[in-house]
Amino acid sequence: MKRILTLLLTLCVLLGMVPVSAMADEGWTTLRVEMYDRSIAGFNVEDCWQLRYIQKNFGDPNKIKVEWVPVSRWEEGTILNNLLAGGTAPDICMTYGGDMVLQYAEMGGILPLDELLAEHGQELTAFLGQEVLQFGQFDVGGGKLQYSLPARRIITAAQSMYIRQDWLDKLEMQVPNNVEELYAYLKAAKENNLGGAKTIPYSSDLYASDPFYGWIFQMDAFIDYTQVTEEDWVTYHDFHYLLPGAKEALRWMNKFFNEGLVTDYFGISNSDQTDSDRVMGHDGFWVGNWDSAWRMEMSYSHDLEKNVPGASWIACDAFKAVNGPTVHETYNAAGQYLFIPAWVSEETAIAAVKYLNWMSLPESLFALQNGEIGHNYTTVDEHGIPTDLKNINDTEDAYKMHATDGAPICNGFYYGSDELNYAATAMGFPGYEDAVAASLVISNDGGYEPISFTRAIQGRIDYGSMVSSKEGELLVQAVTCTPDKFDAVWEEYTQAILTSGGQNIIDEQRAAYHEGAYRGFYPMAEKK
Amino acid sequence: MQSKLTEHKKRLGTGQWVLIMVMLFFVLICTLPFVNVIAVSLSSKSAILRGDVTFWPAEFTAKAYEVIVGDKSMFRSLFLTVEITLIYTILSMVLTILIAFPLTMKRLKGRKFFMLFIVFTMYFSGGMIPIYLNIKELGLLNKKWSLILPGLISTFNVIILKNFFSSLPYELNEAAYIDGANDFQILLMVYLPLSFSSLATLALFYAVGKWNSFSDALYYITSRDLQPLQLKLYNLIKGGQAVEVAVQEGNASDLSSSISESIESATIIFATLPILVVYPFVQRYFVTGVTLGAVKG
Repeated sequence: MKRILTLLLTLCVLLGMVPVSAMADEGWTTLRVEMYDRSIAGFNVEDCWQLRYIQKNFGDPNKIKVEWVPVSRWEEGTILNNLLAGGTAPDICMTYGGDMVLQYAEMGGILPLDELLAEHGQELTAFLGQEVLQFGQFDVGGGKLQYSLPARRIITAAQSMYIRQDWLDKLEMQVPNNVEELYAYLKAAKENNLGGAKTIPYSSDLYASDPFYGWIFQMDAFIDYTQVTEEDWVTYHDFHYLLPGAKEALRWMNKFFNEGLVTDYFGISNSDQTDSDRVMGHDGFWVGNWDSAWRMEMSYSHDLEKNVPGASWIACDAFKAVNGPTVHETYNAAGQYLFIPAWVSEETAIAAVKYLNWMSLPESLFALQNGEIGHNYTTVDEHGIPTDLKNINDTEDAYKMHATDGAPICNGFYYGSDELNYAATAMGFPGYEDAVAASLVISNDGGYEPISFTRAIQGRIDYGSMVSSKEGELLVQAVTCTPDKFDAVWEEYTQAILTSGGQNIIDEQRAAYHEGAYRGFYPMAEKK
Repeated sequence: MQSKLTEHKKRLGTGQWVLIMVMLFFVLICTLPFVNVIAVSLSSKSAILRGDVTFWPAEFTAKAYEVIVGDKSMFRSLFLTVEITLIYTILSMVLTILIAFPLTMKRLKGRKFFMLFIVFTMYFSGGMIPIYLNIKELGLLNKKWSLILPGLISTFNVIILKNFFSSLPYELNEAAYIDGANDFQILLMVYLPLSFSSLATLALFYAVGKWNSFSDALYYITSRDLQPLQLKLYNLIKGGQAVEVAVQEGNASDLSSSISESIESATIIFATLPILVVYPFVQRYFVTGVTLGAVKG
């Protein structure tokens, strides 16, 4: 009995030991800033080089104590939701979930920043620019206000197409410029078994959440823009396959599949197999993000060269438009969203805007993104761009930093102009600079940003996941059926999409177009 | 000798061989993924990308383990997790016993009501944000105790233990009572010594559950010093799958922040090892413990 009582007593005492939070120093403001935690070995979010730099160069002169509040990068949406609901959110919040920002703005939980920016944030406003800022403006009843600050996305390029340079050389072929030339290449590669017995001329992996994403370049090449109005474009942008002509791009895929030119597990997400095919040299063509072939972590090119001497990937544009100009979908100019919760005191809100404004100054931004010479890099080129920026694992612990998290006003490295930014990006892939630069050019050629809506599309919320799973079925069935059944299958599965909620979304998006509640533009607008 | 062997073989009939094969099959299903993780943790990045690694390391390297051992915060998390698991398990056991025991007492009025009260929580909960607000109001955010106090009592385990206590002959209770023992003495000197296997099993349930949990820390803990091992593991694994995310973030070339598959696997091994070491010692109580409580309930 005594033992149990003692235990219970200890429990009570321990519970009572919850400490009282420390009082702020006289005259100083404490600014709590959300910071992503990625559990990187040796990197302490709460005490790192970037934070010390900020404290020294911004905090101390302005009597502001800056604290970083770690939030797991992978659950940031849910955690931030909790923090906001519990009133414990940091003074500056950041998230990749734009919907949450709109939701909290509607509930009055977010501070409109227009006046603060006009007074304390001129440099920041200039740095982000109107094109970016518009993504943070919402009208929730009191006129269009700046509820959040979207980060400026430096590289908006999205996808690129990759082909084997060594196969082209062996076949004595030129880089394909359209789908027919691509077909000739794929066919020849298969006939000559250039990748050995397991040759897969065209490999593809499936994104379950947006099945047609990897085929958007192909579809754009076939769309008959003479039949597409701006209204159609806005309404059908995320139903790209319903735009006139897009179906023909998929008919080609069907032909490729039926002639054994495509992965035979088409439609099944099997990234381990795809990875293996790409580095073992079985694979001849694929569509992926503009840098996929050279990424450090999944370095297809590097490992391909090791496994197959002389082999290499280059970017190409195998889907130039049949007639008319070629266009390529990019990301939009806005990255993650920064905002200040409504309950933050005026004093702290001013400190917050000053903090972000200071960050947008060229000198601060450069330091926060690149670190310190001698530790994070050793040399700079004639434009002052570090040529040997270390990645976080190779940096000594005291100087470890994460550029996009520490300087969240910017998604990507900023060096003053598009030209320098692109050159610097290519430099980040040592040994592949030219190939990466070429890939960026292709990906940006005729770039247009995807349509997004400034108000919630209720149909998308209600039927979105159903529609995308039906889209997956359409894609797989249309590509893998026999050519004579293609039209029937296409008809059947597109109807299924429309009747399972697709039509509701389309109608609502058409209404949103007429209200002007959208962002983005019709790429052919000027050319018509 | 020859005849003896054949005799032995005969005793194991075809049926038994089939059974052995089936068992072996299930054993392999359970162990092979683990073997694969070990192999991956000891292989080079290129070999993993080629798809060469199945059950044996290819291009052997222990670099992943060097990275983990070199990370002081990993050990801090390990010790924290051990500490939390120990405190949690002890407190949970005390509380579970103290609930389950009275519920078996026929003298206790309103037993059904209390039982319903307890079982109710198995089906209904306040939801994530209300629970978060509760923790916040209690001043537990970013405290070690936020990982221990909520969920100290598992309703399921209370029911198991209550059923086990009920299965003990009630006459023992009466006999002790006649001998002059009070309720605490009956519990400590009669019931607990007889329930060792059940208690060991429940302690294992609690300990493994706590060891493997990370979602509480995900929401209640921001300080890096208070991150349990499983939360670190969760972040590492998510980071490893974040190639597409890095593009979205515009930080593509700095993919260093994503973790290679071998480090991921090595961390899994690191986090599982302590449980693997403890498990065999407690395991023998496992089957008897749970079934005794369940069947005779």
